[in-house]
Amino acid sequence: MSFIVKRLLISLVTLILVSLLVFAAFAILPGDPARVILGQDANEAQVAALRAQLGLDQPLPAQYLQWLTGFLSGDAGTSIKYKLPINLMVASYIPVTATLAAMAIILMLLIALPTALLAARFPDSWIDRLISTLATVFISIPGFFLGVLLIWVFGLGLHLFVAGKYISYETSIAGFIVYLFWPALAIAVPCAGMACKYLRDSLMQQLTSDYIRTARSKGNTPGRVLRVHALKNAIIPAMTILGMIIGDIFAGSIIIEAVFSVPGIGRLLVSSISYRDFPMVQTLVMYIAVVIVLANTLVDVGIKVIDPRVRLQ
Amino acid sequence: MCASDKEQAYFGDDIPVLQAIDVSNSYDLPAKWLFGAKAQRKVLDSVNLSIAEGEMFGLVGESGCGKTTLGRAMLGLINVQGQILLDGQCFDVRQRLQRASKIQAVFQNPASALNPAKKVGWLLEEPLRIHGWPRLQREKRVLEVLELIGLDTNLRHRRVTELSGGQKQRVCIGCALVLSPRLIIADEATSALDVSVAAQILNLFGSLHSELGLSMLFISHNLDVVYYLCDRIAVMLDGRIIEQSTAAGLYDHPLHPYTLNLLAATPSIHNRVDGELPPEAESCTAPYAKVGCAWASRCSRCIRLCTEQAPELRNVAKPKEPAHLIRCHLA
Repeated sequence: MSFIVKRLLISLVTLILVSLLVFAAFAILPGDPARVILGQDANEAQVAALRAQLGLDQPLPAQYLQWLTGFLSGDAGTSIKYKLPINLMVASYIPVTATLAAMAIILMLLIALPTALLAARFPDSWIDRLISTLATVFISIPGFFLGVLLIWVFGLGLHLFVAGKYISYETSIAGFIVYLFWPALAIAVPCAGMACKYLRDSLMQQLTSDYIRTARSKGNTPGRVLRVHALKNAIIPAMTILGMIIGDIFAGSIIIEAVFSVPGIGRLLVSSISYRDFPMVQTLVMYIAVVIVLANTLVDVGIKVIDPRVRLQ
Repeated sequence: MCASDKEQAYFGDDIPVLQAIDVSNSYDLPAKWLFGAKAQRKVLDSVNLSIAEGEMFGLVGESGCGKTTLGRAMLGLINVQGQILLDGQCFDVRQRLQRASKIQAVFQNPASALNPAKKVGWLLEEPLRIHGWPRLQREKRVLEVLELIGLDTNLRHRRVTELSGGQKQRVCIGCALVLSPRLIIADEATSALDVSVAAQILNLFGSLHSELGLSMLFISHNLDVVYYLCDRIAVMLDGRIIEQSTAAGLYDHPLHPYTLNLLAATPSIHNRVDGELPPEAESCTAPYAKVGCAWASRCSRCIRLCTEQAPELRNVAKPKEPAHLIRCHLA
């Protein structure tokens, strides 16, 4: 129990640091939101008036505190670009990104688990080498390039989907899922490469353990030894990187959403950065940070729950 | 002449529970040059061994002499040349279920020999599950086995990690017993346990042997443990059996210089060897060669023949006495 409390406190400190960092980054970045909104023709008085209206004339610590209290009380302020409440906008964009990320995680597991098991089942065979080589190749390919490749081969070449023709979940749930399959695949494949390599090594390490020898002498087939005995113990060390991969998946979705023109948090973030819509950026980055930190905390707690060796302590 | 022929008298017409016939195993040493010929290191060199029904057979020898490899070969965990017959039958890799129902093993370190993610009951039930037993019979058998190994039946709901070392080793024994195998290999089964727990486990082996008539192959480097439990003992050195006799025969009249050394190295009140023992001498500095006797370089009684020709395994017992096999030019 005290472990969970300690872990949550660490997460809280991490989030505060992230918020400070984002705030500082925007204070240092060149470019004035008021100037961007009014355009180059506006005179100094107009700009100053707008700055005062937006609260940008306040000292930085005051601006930060104002934003923080707003964020915590559920009112993240108003978007400079869209002139809409930020939380309302985020709420309409989140289902898309959440579905994309969830699909990417599922696809990643669907690719990584069987390939890792297959590679560990026949270590040093041609199939093991093939899987290892492919995993390295896919780790090395940047996500956006893979996205472009998927559009080229499956969209333009094989006509399996129409690139750029996003179908909203309000129009058709099935169409929405089918369209998101391809960007989700582009995000999942590099992550799956990493997860597969890690899990395969973890499995190989388990296979040298004494309990595997016991399981084999009971008459278990090699496949069953892997699935029933080695897998669960191998997943425990591999789960640590799952937390990191979740971060990768969000980072990946920001770029991939742009490649596949999916209207998600990622695209909202990119357009807000170029417009210097910094209440929006600050809030989005905070939400993403919360999700990633929470995912990592869950992974850490999950390891404690799954691993019988640390469970008692 | 094959050593198993010489044992014919011991077995009469009964088929031994286990028969190892000319079992050899070797692995490649890394080549000295990139494309150089690979040297081979023999781990087992034509080992012949038979275990009768209900017999406790001891296998002793120093670390790396091949005794564990022999045990693993019998379990079908590694491939070897030669034949391993269980009840006169030979099993190939695919017949792992048939093999598992004949032969089971208890290994050295109970802390790592059980899957930490599983519960005791699950582990005990597993062999039955993969052998296709119906659920009710499985549960009944698990309870029987728990009683047999002297564990509280409620322990089956516990995780392995919650048990003590002795309890874990009892679970390992239970897993081996649950299919009622013909033979159990105990590979250093007590060396990871502290002395009092080891004694309890040895007593458990003893009582299981007398109650169930179980055959056992007891692999150990501790001669006293083997002497206490076993009917016959074989001594291994460098992948070969160098002496084999009844427990009393080996303890009272050890013949091979290596056995003498092994007995001397065991500090014990049972130590039956009197007088000065041959020191592990460097007096005869034969190079480590595969031609002669494996002990020659360390033997105080080494003569020239020992370095030039490997001795054969011979029976030196008097007629009508149990066989006493020895591989030494001097005996």
